[in-house]
Amino acid sequence: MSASHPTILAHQFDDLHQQKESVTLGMWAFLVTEVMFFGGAFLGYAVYRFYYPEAFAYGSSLESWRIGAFNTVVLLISSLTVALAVHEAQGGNNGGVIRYLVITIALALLFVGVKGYEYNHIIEAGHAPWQRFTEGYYAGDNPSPSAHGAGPHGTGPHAQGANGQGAHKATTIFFSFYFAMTSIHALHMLIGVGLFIWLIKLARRNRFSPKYYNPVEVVGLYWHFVDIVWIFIYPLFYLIDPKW
Amino acid sequence: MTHASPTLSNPRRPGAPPDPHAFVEPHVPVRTYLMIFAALMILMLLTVAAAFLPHQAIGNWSIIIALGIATIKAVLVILYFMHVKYASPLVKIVVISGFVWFFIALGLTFTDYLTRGWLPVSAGWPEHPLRANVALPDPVPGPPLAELPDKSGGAGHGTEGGGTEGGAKGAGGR
Repeated sequence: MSASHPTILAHQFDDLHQQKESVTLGMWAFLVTEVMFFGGAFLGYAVYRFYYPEAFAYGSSLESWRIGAFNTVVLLISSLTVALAVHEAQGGNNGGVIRYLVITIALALLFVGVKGYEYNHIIEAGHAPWQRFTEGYYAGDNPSPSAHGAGPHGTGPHAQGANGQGAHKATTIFFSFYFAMTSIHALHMLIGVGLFIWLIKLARRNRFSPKYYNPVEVVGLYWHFVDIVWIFIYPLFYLIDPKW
Repeated sequence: MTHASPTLSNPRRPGAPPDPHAFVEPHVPVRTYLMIFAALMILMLLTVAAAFLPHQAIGNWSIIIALGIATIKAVLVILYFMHVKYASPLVKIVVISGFVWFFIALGLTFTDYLTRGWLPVSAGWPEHPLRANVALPDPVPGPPLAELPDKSGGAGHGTEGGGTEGGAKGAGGR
């Protein structure tokens, strides 16, 4: 037992348990800053949804809750595979770590790809905030249809619907929050993919053992946190007023 | 799942001999992960189903149900996938503190935004959305709403002499 790999225990720690504890605590300290980071975005979302409930409900109804549900399932499965990768690392099975992390990377790229498809759909419909900044503070106040769907793809059916009903004010704010928060979330996922590739490289060198699997554990924490952010994004952006 | 197995508790005990390589970490069984995953999927279906409940019937309960389910899911992920259930008290405190601070931010922010318009004083700028709910007479009538968009273009280029005066009033509030 004592003849373990000498470099596993870094010299500043008394023992492996303290090392593991320190690494876990450090990651959580980072994740708390992430809670505050995404929390600020959710806070802004809450204030503006409180001010413009109809606009948020209407903006949400323009999104496909089915696509969001699909991505939610993809992300939950990826969280499970990461948890299983950590489990394999705890058992010292580096091959299992690689297998589950490859599945996770595939799921993450699937998620980001679907997200890109969704962005494209919304931009084509003319709802992206940068396509509507010319409309002023209240998007619905101006009855002139010229500003709607000003993007290169013309006016989509949804944009015309927004025009026809003047009650749907300020959906620009809804989609600003939507693009900002989901794109930052997707960026976190891409960073996670990079971390998984790094872990796979370590696992190929058989670096993980029951005594040392801290990198897998810590990156797993990061990934589960990204999952939690999406757990809140999904009902708040896709399910306010979904259309069957 | 309701009780913590002794093998999953903190392995380092105060009286234990100091062996730097004695390292027994809690191993969460695969079965637990699968059960949590199944619970998350069921809760996701519940979220979708709850969103299709008629809004007239449940009103504001819609968002409370949605956020409640999301919170349950988040807690499940934190406790089991992120191993906080098996973590040391220090880690638990750090995790809880992060969310407590977020709720402080949320609570203090809404003591402001939620209560604006409850009283006639300092009710914000004239086109404030909550002004519609205030049935009190405006003590100092502001400029008509129709004039406001023109001032954003440039108060200094006003055609009338009163244009700059109205712009200052609109920007500075009352």
